[in-house]
Amino acid sequence: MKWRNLEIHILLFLLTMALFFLTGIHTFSRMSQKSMILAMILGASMGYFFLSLYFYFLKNKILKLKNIPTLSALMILFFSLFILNYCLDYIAGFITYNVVNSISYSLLLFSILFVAIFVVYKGLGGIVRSAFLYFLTMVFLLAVAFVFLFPKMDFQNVLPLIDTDFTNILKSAGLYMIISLTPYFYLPFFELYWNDKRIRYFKKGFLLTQVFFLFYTLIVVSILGISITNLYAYPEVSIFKKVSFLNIVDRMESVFSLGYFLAFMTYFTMTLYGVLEILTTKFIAKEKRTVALFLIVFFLLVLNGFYKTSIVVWFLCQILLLLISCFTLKPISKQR
Amino acid sequence: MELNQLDVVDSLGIDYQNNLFVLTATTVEKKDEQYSYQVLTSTGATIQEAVENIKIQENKKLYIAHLNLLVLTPRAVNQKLEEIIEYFLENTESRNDFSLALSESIDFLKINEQQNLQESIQIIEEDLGTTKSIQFEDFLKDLLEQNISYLPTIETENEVTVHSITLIENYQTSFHLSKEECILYNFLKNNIQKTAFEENIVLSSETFIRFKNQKINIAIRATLAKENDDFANQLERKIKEMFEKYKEQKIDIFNFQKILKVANYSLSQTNQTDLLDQVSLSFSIHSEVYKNENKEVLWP
Repeated sequence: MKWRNLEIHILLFLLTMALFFLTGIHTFSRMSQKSMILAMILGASMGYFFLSLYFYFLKNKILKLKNIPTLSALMILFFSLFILNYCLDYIAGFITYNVVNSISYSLLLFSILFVAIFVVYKGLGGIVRSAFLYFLTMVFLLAVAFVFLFPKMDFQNVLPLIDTDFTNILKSAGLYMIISLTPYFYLPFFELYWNDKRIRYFKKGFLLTQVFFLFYTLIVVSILGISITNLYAYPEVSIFKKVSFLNIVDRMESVFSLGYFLAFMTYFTMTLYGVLEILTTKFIAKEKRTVALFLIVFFLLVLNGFYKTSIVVWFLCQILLLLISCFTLKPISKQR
Repeated sequence: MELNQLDVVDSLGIDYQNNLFVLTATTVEKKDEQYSYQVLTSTGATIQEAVENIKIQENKKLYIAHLNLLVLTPRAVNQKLEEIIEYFLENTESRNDFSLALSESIDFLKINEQQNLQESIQIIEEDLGTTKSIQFEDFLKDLLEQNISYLPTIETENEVTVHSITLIENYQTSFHLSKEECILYNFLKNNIQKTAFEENIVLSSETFIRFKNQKINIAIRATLAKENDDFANQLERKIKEMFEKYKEQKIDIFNFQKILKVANYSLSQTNQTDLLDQVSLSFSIHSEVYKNENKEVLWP
């Protein structure tokens, strides 16, 4: 299937967004206080450097999933289950906290899984197309919200830009760098040919994505202040409570937070798709795709019943996936 | 949950007596296009227990997502402020955008005529400048960042009136500001819309505070109803007096330390009491007389 750069980039943007909010703005702010803005700039710069290095090795080559070693594939499957488990719990918690307070957890879990299975069953094309629609919805919602939030920004809340020591800034920058690079783990599923034009496009896209998140963080901290950002579980949603216009546009936070839900769903479905692809490429015949999909969901539900993945375990799994895919998946040369 | 199973809370009073939380909630219900108010009271060892007791009495759940005003008593603030804050932060229904007030007693909430208290606070703030409203999130932010905040104070002795503000320091009630001090406080916070200061009627005012040449520069531009050449001197003198008065008690009444910390990184590393001594003030106050150009009849 021929992919357009824009479509893939929108998918990467939504994945970055999901990863950023799954980690949480408050994780960064607690780590580096008001210096988180600097830490993000530093993290994005480091991310850009490593991404350039990665693209340098990929130049005029293709990454193919079938070249992945069996042991690496097994490890990816194992760690991905924990990632899916964390993501499932997070989405359920997010909806319970921000949208509907009194809803059965099981009902929520099965609803999320049902939607995800449906999208994954449609294949990568289905995920990319739905991501495109999600993106348009999210851009509209965020644009409306930002119009009402701009007057409430107070830059005194962001200053001074340095209020913690360099070690904390570096830790926060490292964390941000990993988050910004992790979505690129999903690129092998597209089997793209990496010519100069495409590399330039993706580098620009990476920078634009980082500018957006920097801007977003600035809005959150300048409106809430660093102490309130540290305090809330979802500061990114709390700012939407401040959207108000003549008592007409009011109490809309549940609607605006739909954008995050769509990003989380993209991340969940893409990871589920990744697990299915690896399973059907290395271990189970392509014809038994449906069986493989239900097998993954079964294992996921069993795992969810016995174990709740913590944010630390999730993050470690994410780093391991990134490292495994970087070091074991060798690009192959191919003339177009 | 259906709407008829909810008691929508409009204002809530929290007191703390004999190791028990005393809750007075004013709930609102819409019947035939008209709002009707109901007062519910209960007690409990925790706020949650008191809320549950109301639920048992009324067979309805207290719904605080539409809470407009939370009134606390000095007893509740001094003994249980952290627990009260925690309750609202942990309650997923709370939107944390309600106003706060302080009152010796919360019994006045039982009188149905007092439903527009939050509006009264805002009107007094806008027209007289003798009080200042505050929302829960801003109150919390001040306490977390500067360890000092304030609450508009309600007097209930003879009649229910809003009277100035009370400072909350280290989660305890501290000083009660006089009306004049509150006006000066509002001047510094750029919160004056209309007020009467000394013999001057101030119709509007704008304040800019900057850190300039190692000094905190306070620039005020006020529009007066009548000309008074001495207005700038009077205002400057009063602000200085008030600042010095609270400085002696190690209270950074105008949050000047925050301005210093924003302007200077090395200063931000020192502790608060040291910093207050380093604050020096400079003023540039300008006043102009209001000219109504649309006036049709001129006084002879």
